[in-house]
Amino acid sequence: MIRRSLPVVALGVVLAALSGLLPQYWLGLLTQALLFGGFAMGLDLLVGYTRMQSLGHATFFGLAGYGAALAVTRAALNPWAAAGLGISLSLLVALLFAPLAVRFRGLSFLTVTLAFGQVAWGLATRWTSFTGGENGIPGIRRPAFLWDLNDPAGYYLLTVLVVTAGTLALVRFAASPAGMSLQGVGSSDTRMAALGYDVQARRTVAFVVAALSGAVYGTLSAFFNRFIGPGSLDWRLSAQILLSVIVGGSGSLWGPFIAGAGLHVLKAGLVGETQRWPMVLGALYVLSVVFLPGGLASVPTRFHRFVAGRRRTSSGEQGARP
Amino acid sequence: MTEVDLRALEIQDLTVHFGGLAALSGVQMTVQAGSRHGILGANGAGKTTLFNVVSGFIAPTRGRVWLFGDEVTHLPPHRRARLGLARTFQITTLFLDLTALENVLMASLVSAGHHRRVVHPARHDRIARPMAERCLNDLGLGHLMDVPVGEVGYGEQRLLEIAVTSALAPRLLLLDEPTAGLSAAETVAVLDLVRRLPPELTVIIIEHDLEVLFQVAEHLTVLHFGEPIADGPAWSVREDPVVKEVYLGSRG
Amino acid sequence: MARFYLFQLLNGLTTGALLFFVASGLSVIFGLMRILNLAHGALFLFGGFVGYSVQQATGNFLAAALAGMLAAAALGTFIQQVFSRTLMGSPANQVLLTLGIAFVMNNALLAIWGGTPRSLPAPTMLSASVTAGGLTYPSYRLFLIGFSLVAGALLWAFWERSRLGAVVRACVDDRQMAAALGIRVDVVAAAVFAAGSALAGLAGVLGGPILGVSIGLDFDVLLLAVVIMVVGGIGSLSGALVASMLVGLVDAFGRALFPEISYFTLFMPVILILLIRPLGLFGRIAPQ
Repeated sequence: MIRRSLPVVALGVVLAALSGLLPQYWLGLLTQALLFGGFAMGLDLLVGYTRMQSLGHATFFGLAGYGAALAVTRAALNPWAAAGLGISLSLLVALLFAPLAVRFRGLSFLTVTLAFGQVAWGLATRWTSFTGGENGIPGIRRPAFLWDLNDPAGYYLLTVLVVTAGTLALVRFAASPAGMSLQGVGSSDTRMAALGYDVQARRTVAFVVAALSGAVYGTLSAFFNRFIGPGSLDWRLSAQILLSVIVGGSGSLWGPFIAGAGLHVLKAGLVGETQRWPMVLGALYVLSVVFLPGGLASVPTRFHRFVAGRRRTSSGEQGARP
Repeated sequence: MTEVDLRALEIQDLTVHFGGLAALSGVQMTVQAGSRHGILGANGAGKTTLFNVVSGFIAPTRGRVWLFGDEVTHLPPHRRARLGLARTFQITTLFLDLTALENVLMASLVSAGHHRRVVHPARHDRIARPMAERCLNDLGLGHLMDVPVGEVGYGEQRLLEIAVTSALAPRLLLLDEPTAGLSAAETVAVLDLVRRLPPELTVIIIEHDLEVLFQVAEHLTVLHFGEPIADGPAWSVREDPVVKEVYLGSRG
Repeated sequence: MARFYLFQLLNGLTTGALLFFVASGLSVIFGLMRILNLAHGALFLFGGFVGYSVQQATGNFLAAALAGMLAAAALGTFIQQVFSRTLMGSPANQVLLTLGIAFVMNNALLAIWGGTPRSLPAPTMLSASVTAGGLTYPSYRLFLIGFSLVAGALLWAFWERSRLGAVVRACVDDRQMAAALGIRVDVVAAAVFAAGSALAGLAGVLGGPILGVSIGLDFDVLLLAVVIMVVGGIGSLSGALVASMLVGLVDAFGRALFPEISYFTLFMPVILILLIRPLGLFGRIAPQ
């Protein structure tokens, strides 16, 4: 476990140190990037481990944000309490919807999660009196903490803290029997049932854990932007996170994290440069799936094979496959 | 101890219809605990359907099933596994991306009752891991421990399936055509393994090869187009004229 | 009151007619090749824009429709041939590929035709309205409903009654068996992909007079088509027809009666139907 935790903590420390070095703009960019990276990692448990592609998990990201936003702006709740409320609301919805959703497989599951997401999005956009409609809810004030969270560096540091803790928890869970059972369900659910595992219950767990990561990071995102709008539950965000998982390499956890964070940074960079940024991103998706079907996570293996192949040729050996 | 407790499996009037097709009709069967029971039949005779009903993957159109005295007719597969039932599949259902150890571990974690833990690493579980290593070593598969199952040869995969089920410490084991597609040497290895299974474990084997079955089964049930045409001690079924006609007349 | 319901009914059937063209192609492609083409909506819009340009240049609606069909078929075939290996791969990679293509196409269409919604007027002979029983309704919409029924009937005839249709059905039901019987499944697959894409492109043009042709329609239509495919049953033409009409009707009535929660009125029944009939209304293939 030390072997897995150490790199995460080390990275957390490095990222935290950057808070004093980077300019405001970059800190802001990184904050959002880390949140998307964390979300993608959580979704990987559902998509990569349990092999269920959901096009609706941004719903939980956005729902938590809306919950917190409404609590802070309309009910004048303390921001910490509001955050807790937002996460709980999102989690509750996930717990209600998950048992239903996991009865579906493959394309049906994709469709049902998409449909569910559209219902939420529709409510957010049309129920203007409550949710602010297309304009969303502005004015979400940040809570007080050990350091000033209104300072971009301060909020960045909080984000690093939460994402590091969240990642440690996720990695631990993934390595546990419960986490491994999700891999089993994704790989051969018949075998899992024959071994005594309640497959539907396992799927529900995967769905809810992914939703929880969305809820936590979605709340942080809402406070970061000091704003929540329908864009946070749009299917396009669900798609962006799902595609991050696949581009990163489903099932690797770290691949989706890097891809989730990286895609956000890339998108932010492109948006300023060109109107054609969706085309660039789309082309990137296409190229990555064609030339790197295993995702970013397959790069180390490919590199090893390449090196091993080179070494073998140079020493004159033949035959053995890498 | 009453007589019911000695019956590992009891099936009454089992009928399964798929659309218009009767895969099984009125199957009646009792398997005594600790016995080695064979199920013989040509392809399409209904053998795997029988296993699927017993293990809970298919619901019967009619009939009832008992495991160790408990009625399980409508119980889902994972609940039957908890009652001590384990099975292998005709098509390998191993976790191809995981190593042999991890495959067996998935089962031994259930035996150890640790399969729902969320904090401690599965691969270092203090009870399940030694159990899994033991299972692999006992079956001579220790060398495959860290090999991804997808890279393991077919013959060894079939042995691995049996290793996985043995890690569940089951009371009743269903083996679905364990020697199908294997070479003569691999078949010997599998049969050898079956012979070495604990005597208190009840084993039911499906095969369509008579000679293979005779090497391990003491008791036989013969299915023909979903109906039982013979049921009794192996030597008597072998001599049964109906079986001879059906079997030797139509080698499957 | 009755007039209102009749009006919405016809609106719903019109939408349903358009959706049928889109969804049937998507469904058969998925049923046959297990390919979920998330760029299908983009093909719809591409056909629409091409049709718009042709209509602008020639003033001829028929030419526009044909052009839209051919353009979509050509692009669809191109995609299928170039990316065939990925398209036959894992579902996750299919999603990544086809969604990526959809994003590229969406932005390319924006670059070429701009963000202003374009109007594609109905052919002159159908631009008037029909009045019957106190109700006035655009004749083009009536034509669309009629046309979709005729097209549906022709497709059905092809599917159920013709030898070629039997070949395609065999491939959908059991690909390996069909190949074993000597059918050139890859040729059938390519033809079906092209035909499905053509239908989408045609729908893009036919929908012009009603929906206009604008960026954003691609994903709106895709969402509904995917839902229809799953609700109607994979690979089932009759399922696609029934589900399209149902979706069209629910959408029309939902928008008219409950505009605030119209997404809810549309998608909740979808979830309910799938709970009762997980394979879809007429489905026989598991949508995995």
